[in-house]
Amino acid sequence: MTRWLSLTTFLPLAGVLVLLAWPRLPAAAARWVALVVSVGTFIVSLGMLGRFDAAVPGFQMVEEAWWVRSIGLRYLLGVDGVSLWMVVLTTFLVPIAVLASWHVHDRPRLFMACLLALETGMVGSFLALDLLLFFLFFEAILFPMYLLIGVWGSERRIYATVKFFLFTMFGSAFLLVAILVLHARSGALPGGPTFDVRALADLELPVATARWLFLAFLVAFAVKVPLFPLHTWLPDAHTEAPTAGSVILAAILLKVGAYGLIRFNLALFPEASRRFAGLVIALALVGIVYGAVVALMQTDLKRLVAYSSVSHLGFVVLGTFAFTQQSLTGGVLQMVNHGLSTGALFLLVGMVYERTHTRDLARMGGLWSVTPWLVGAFLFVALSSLGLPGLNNFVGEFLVVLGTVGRSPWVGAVAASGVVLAAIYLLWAFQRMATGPVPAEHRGHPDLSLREALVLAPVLAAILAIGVYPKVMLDRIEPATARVLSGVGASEVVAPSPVPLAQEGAP
Amino acid sequence: MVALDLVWLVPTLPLAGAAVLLFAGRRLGRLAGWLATATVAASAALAVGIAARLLDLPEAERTRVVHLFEWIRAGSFRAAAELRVDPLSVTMVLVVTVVGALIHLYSIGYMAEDPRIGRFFAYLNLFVGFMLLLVLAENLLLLYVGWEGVGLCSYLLIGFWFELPSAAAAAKKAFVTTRVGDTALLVGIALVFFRLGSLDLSRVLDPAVAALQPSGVFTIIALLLFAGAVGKSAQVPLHVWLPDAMEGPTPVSALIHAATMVTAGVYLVVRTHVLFELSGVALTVVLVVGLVTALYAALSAIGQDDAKRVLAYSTISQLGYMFVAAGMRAYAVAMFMLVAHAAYKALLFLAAGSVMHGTEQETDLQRLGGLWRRMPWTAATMAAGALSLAGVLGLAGFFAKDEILAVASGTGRGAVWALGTLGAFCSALYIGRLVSLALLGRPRSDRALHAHESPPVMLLPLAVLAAGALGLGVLMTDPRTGTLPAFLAPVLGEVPHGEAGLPKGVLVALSQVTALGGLGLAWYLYGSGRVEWLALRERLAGVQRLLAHGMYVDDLYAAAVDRPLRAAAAALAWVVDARWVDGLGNGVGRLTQALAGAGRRVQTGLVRTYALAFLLGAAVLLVYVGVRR
Amino acid sequence: MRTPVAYFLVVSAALFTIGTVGVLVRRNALVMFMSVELQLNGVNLALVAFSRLHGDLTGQVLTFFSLVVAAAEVVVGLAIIVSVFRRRRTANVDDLAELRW
Repeated sequence: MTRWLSLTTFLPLAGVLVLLAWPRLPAAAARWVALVVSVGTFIVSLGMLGRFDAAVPGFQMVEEAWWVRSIGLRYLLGVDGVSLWMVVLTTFLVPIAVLASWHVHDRPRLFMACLLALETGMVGSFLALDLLLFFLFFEAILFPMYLLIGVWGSERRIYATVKFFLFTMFGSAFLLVAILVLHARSGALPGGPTFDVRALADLELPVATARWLFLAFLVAFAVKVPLFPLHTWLPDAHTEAPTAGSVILAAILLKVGAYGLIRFNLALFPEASRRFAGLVIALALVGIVYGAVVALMQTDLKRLVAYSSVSHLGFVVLGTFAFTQQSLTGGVLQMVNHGLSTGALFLLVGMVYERTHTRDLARMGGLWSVTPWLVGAFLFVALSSLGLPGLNNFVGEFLVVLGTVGRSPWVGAVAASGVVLAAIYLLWAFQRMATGPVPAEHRGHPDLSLREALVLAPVLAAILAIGVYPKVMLDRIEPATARVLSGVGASEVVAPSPVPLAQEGAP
Repeated sequence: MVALDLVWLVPTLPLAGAAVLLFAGRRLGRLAGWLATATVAASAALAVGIAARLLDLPEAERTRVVHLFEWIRAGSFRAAAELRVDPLSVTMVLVVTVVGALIHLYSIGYMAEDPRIGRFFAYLNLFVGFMLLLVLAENLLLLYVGWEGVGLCSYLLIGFWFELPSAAAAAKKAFVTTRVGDTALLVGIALVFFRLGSLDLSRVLDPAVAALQPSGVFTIIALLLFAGAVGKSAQVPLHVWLPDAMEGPTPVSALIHAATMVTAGVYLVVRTHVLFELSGVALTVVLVVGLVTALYAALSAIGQDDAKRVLAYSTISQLGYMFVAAGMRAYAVAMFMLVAHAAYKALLFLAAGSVMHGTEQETDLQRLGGLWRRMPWTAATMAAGALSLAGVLGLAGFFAKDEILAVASGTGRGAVWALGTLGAFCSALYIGRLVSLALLGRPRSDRALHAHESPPVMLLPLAVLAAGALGLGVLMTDPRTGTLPAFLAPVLGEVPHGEAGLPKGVLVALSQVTALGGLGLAWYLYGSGRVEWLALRERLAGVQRLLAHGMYVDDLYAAAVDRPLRAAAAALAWVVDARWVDGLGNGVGRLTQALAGAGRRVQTGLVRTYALAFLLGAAVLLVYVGVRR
Repeated sequence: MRTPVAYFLVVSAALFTIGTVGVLVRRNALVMFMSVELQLNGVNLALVAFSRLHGDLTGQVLTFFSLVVAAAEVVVGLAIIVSVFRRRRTANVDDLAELRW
């Protein structure tokens, strides 16, 4: 019986050990080791995907072993419709990040080790069903990211990475305390005190306690998502990180926070979730509009994309707390979609930077005639990011808006306005970057190289495929989201059954 | 006769063409144009075959839904990729493919010198593909895909010459302005789902829905859908993007901004008219908006100096008329006007393009003139289109516009008739002005003097469209029994009939007075040479400027919307975010540092201080223990 | 007649107090050590006195422990002072404030 989940989680770690244990490993070898290991992990995750049964709403391929029996701490991994695609996305993007970082000259061995260590941490976070184990993986993400930004980043990297680290730690402190409180209160359960999420979901907590715990969990994840007003670490971290760091940070790290809200907040504290849904939705709405508006004002291309992430993640959180089947499914889908689109955007921004050596939109222009394929790819991704139908983000955003309108039309309308704002800031950025006359210093830039095309092609293909045929993903997400929703116990928003046809037999 | 199930090929052929041209366009060179034209022409042929098949079926069975694949399903929501074949969609498909094919053909000549011709035809094919998807979609979400898709292609094509900052800006303006409407449409679609349980047109058009009680929800839904139409069809107040869209190549203006994309709004309203009728107020809003737009744009067109801008405002105005018809429940009449307008407006744009082609891109009416001698074919076809637009008896435009006014009069809407007639006079005036200034008199610049006629590949479409502009009226000889209304009746119902107002003969006479009067006045002022129109222009400079700037609506937006929003955005970005929210985070850091800075002074480094601390601590402990005892 | 315990305790307290003051006030490291010894011996005296009082040997045993610890502490402490003195030519503890903020 193959332990798919453990394999997917720890294969990158094996890669890390190989890289670290061999100090004199030449740079080229280090890159290939990283690429082989990460591609291997992706293939393993495909195996996991293959074994996933779309009809089962609960956790599958559960791996369970006692770690510290006396306190009920287990090694517990499991996957369901919510985490499945996040794991696949992670294993899909890490090889791409490795490829994108092929020409990192400064300590490439350590750089690749950081990427792989990150992968273990992220996959583990998505798969862990034991709270303390989750916390461990959650924290394990921080250190490699800290190094990535701090060592290989841009001018203000130290400020950015320390800020990132401290902000996240701040939230994690609350998380740890809450986990321990929850554990202390779980004595009443059959089987004694435990960290097992599945068992804790059945725990009866006093209302006030549950609410405080919900808020503690919320703070931790709100920093990561990020939710207004705890978002200010994001622009700096994204801007100063190296390309691969930005890609991983935006595509996956942020989603760990959103995932946490679904997996823990909704499952463990249903009453508190209902009670505070209004607050979270308000913050999400603010994030959508505020993030977009501030993005509009940016002249640094990377910073603009960073703020757009704040806006887009607002949709995910909105979908989560609108408590309708459509909105939650849309939110989960958006976690993947945003990962692909924004990851691609950061890859492209990195490629532009490598040529123009600037992120300042005021100093760019007319690049469409200089590097048509690169710019064409950028336009394609920008269109997906602003929700053009036929591409991936539209499906998720529409489902979120649909579900939200069902719950409250006004909230849905405000959320939909984020779509207009996205069009404005993305197209304006595109206009400044790609159209108009070409400044002399940018005349001779080369277009996409083979390596760059290989980096981009899978992502762009996925963006199109998900937009045209999202059914493959939605079918596996739905049972899990239905289960999560029934756990929350929100009032149902059901569309009336279609108005019956007047004549039977009419097409 | 083509099997209805093959309808999926109709949008797919142009989309496939677009894909091929995007990647291999550069290598194909001029062949790209022929390939692109072929795909659209093939779709047109298929459309004709499907129409024939449809006509073969008895009236009650002229609807077929073709299922392609499951697209999205979440909870009770389901949207499949399904296409709908019925009289209305077939009519639209014919318009789009036939006019589209002609414009593709024309573009082979027009864009021959452009190095990026492959990319141009890719975008053009992509556009046709999306537009066909829009009109053939069986559910509103798929329609929305097509809706946004044509918006995208409009963006790409307006900004085709992207080295020009003005073009790039115009493209962005178009996309963003229509997006405002699109977002309202999206919310409306969501509401439709929650009210009717499905987005399928089969449900929306079902008689059971029509029998529902009218209520406020439907008003909101209808108004939201109409907001989308207002954006896409450039009605007041979302019309500001269309005149600027003239930055794009002229075939683009002809196809997208005259014949097809802008008519999508009319199609939407007509398609979902059941929802509008379930609301008390929505149709009135449509009527009023259409009327205001028709008049406003017709007036503004009189003051434009750029030939294409005249036509842009003209399009806005004519679309207004279509919405007036829809607002009066005369949907078949609106559809006929859509068809006729597609013919003569595309013709006028292509003719203008021909003029530009022959005069090295001259569009300023003040610098044209006398082209009837140098470019006879262009001039003749342009004149045909102009006469049709003005509504001269027997031509297509006459049957369109006059039916609308007749319905207005017949149903007792005297004010609508009066204002509509005023607008018709203005229409005749501006189009007469255009033709007079461009074609008559003497050439007023070197470029006009040395103009040359366009190649046959451009003239042929002009001729075909001219034939349409002149002769399409046969489809609308009577609003109830004419070919087109009868064909559309199962879907759109009967055109309202009334005996109020003036008798038919009088109406026709009055309309001719208006049309010929407007044309005549224009000829007298601009074409006859008897009036110094430059001096007249000087004397009415204020009025001319007002009209030229579209009554300053654009500037109003800049001041009332653009600038405050930008200021607010700047405030949010630089004050709220950078100083306050970020300051909060950094402030916590600084507070911690301050506290630590104060706290560290305990560490004096002196042993004796520590010893004292020991002593005091021990004393406190002793006291504590002693007290406890 | 047996000497009352109180006498011993008074002497013990006096020794302890002198020692404490010495530690707090004097700056010479050696003198501070001597003061610490005084403190320790004051405590030892008190222990023996109480042992005699209770007729129990526990106090005297504790005194032995205390003496051993004091001896060890003096050895190590003097070694440190000597090595510091060799390096810094001072036995003034106020000069050795490197662990300051």
